[in-house]
Amino acid sequence: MLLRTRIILFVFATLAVVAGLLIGVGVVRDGEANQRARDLELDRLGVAWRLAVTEAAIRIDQDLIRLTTDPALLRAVAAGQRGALAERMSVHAGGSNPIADVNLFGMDGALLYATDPAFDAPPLLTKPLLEPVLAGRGRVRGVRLLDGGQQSARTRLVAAAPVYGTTLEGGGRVIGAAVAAVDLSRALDILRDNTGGRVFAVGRDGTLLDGGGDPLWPLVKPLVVLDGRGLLTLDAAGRRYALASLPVADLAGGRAATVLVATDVTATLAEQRLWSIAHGAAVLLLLLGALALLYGYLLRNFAVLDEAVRALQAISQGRAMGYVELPTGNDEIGRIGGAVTVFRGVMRELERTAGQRDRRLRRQQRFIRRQMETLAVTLEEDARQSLLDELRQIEADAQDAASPQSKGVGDELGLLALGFSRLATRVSTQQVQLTQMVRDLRDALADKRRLISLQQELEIARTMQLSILPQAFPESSALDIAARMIPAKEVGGDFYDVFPVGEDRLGLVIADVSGKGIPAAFFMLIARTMLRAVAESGVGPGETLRRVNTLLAAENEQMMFVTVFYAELDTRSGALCFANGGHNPPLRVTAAGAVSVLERSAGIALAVMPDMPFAERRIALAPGDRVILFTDGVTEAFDANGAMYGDDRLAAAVGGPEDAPARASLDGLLADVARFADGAPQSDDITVLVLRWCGAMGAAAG
Amino acid sequence: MNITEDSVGGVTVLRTEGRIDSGNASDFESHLVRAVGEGKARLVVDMAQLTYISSAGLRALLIAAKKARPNGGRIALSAMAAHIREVFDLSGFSSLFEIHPTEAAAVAALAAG
Repeated sequence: MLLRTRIILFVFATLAVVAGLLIGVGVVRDGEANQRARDLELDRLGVAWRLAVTEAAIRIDQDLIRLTTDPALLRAVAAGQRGALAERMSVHAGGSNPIADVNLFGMDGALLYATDPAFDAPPLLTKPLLEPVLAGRGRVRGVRLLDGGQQSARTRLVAAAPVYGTTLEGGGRVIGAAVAAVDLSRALDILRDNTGGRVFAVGRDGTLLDGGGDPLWPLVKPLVVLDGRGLLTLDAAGRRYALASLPVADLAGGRAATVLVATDVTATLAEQRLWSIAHGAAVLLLLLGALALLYGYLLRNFAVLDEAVRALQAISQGRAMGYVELPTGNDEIGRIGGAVTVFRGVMRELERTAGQRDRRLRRQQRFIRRQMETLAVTLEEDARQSLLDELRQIEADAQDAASPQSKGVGDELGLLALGFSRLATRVSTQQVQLTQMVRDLRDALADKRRLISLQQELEIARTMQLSILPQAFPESSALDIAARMIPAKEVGGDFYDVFPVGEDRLGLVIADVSGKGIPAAFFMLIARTMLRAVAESGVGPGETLRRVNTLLAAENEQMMFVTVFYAELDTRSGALCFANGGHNPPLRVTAAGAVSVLERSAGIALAVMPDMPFAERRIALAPGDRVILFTDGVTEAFDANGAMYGDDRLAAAVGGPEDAPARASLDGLLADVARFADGAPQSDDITVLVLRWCGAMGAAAG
Repeated sequence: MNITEDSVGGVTVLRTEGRIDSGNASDFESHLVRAVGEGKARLVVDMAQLTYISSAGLRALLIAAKKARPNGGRIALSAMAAHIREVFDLSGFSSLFEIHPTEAAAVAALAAG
């Protein structure tokens, strides 16, 4: 409810209460005034009644004066002569102006004469009542309820006057009293004439005394109150009457009768009602006028307040820009208006600065985002892509205010911070990775350096190994030798050897050490050195292999072994004596091109088990015969499809009639193997030694 | 090279497949050494699916045999292809190992012993 309405309601209620109180007080005062008016009316009627009684009594007094001035009568009273009185009274009773009802009393109060012819008619005044008159203290007049006699009780208006004696008879003294009475109706008529009202009279017991002919009587009758004064209202035939009850006192005490006066007050009441309505209307109008004035006043004053409230509402809804100048004044509302104006100004200023800050913040955000994207570009591909995805996700979340992430971080800057922290995490992760990679790279470089160094050493070892394999062979017309070793790795496990044994014999060796690389090369060196040393002692091939085997097997924790074919050629006769330690038997190719395998002889690979026997065989070479010593690197050369070169291809390659030097045979064979492998990686050393015996032919030629 | 390990009647069977050369001989060796273990091992190396064995492979067999001998372990070879057998014969290794024509025969021989 508006404050204005509340104030108006409050004022209205206050006014209503005050008006109610005023009306209440007015009603009470009206009541009192009415009461007073009633009392006044009753008093007025009472006075009117007394005036009526007095007026009636004055008429009686005229009669009494007439009587008391009659000298004859005075004399009779003075003398107490009842007869003379009656006689004289009859004179007064007759005539044109008869006296109605008279009593004459003597000085002692004795009734001397009564108009009432009844024998026992009661005196109009009793003796006590006559006292003041007889004592000369004045007259007595009033109403008397006379009872007794044959007649029913009568209510009469009585007046008493003293009777003064003449100078002759008493010198002005009171000699008696004269009392006259008339009917009450005479006073009532006078009252009727004086007041203009409708007059009724009832007796002490409520019986109607007068006014019975009035048509109002039946209505008045039930309202009769016998004791006390009172004023009642009476409605009859569309008119309103005020009915006043006036008790009439008896001269002897008590109540003699009650007089009722009905006054027509219809006009007065109507006038009164009119006044009341006018009064009420005036009060109402005053009230409404006051309210209207108040409303107008409040409206004018609250308009400023309303304006201030609207301004505050606008501010509360975030609109401080709609500027309306508020009237300011020196009162409270004016000051509120002034305060709101100032507040609005401050809010506008705040909004302006907030807008500036917001724009600055957005610029900063854009800048940071660009920087982050620039930074992301420097990351490696995967991290950058996932980071850009995250940035996009975060931006999408920033658009969607309901997303939990958006709630969690509060504002866009928070989201940016989130993105930044992820970027930082990624960068730091990347940094760690980079550091690790750099470390790995450094290690790898160190390894590479070591590897290069090792390779250089291996290269040296290879050079050394190759250098100890003989490249030049004994020049002789009887024989022709060519040999080559092609290692699969830098350092191979195969070797061949050619050396003189004594004067007429030539040692020929081909061997294959298990495994390859440095250990095999070492083992090869040991084996070659031992073999050459033992063979040169000239014990023959079988014994040579037996001894070397035992020597090698002695300290062979690594379980290295070597297969060896060792032959001794008699350079004079061409006899070839040989022993085989687990090696591929060489091929023999005759001058006609027939290929045969040299006979197998018992013998195990060297260094496996000590004290093993090695059989020895002997063949005689014919001029033009070739012996092909080889390792399994030749027969077990693979092509790209995994097919093996095999013994048959070897036999085909070396077979056929040929009169070329050993070198040509060797090259032809190696070329054939290379052709077969066709670039497939070489898995084992390839070693071939070709011996061409041409001694007999040479001898024949020589 | 592919090696699968199995146990038949208390005899460990290593089934070799493909080529054993100097490139993978150390794998072969570690398989063998693990199979021989510490106790009285009975091991059959089945060569039914073996296409090639180089001198490095032979050396691995020698190492295993040497490791098994002090504990009373036995190693048998089975189902060699002809050219593999040729390698064993040539090098004289046939005399160093028990060689059986089939895996079942090798297992039976070791189980009986």
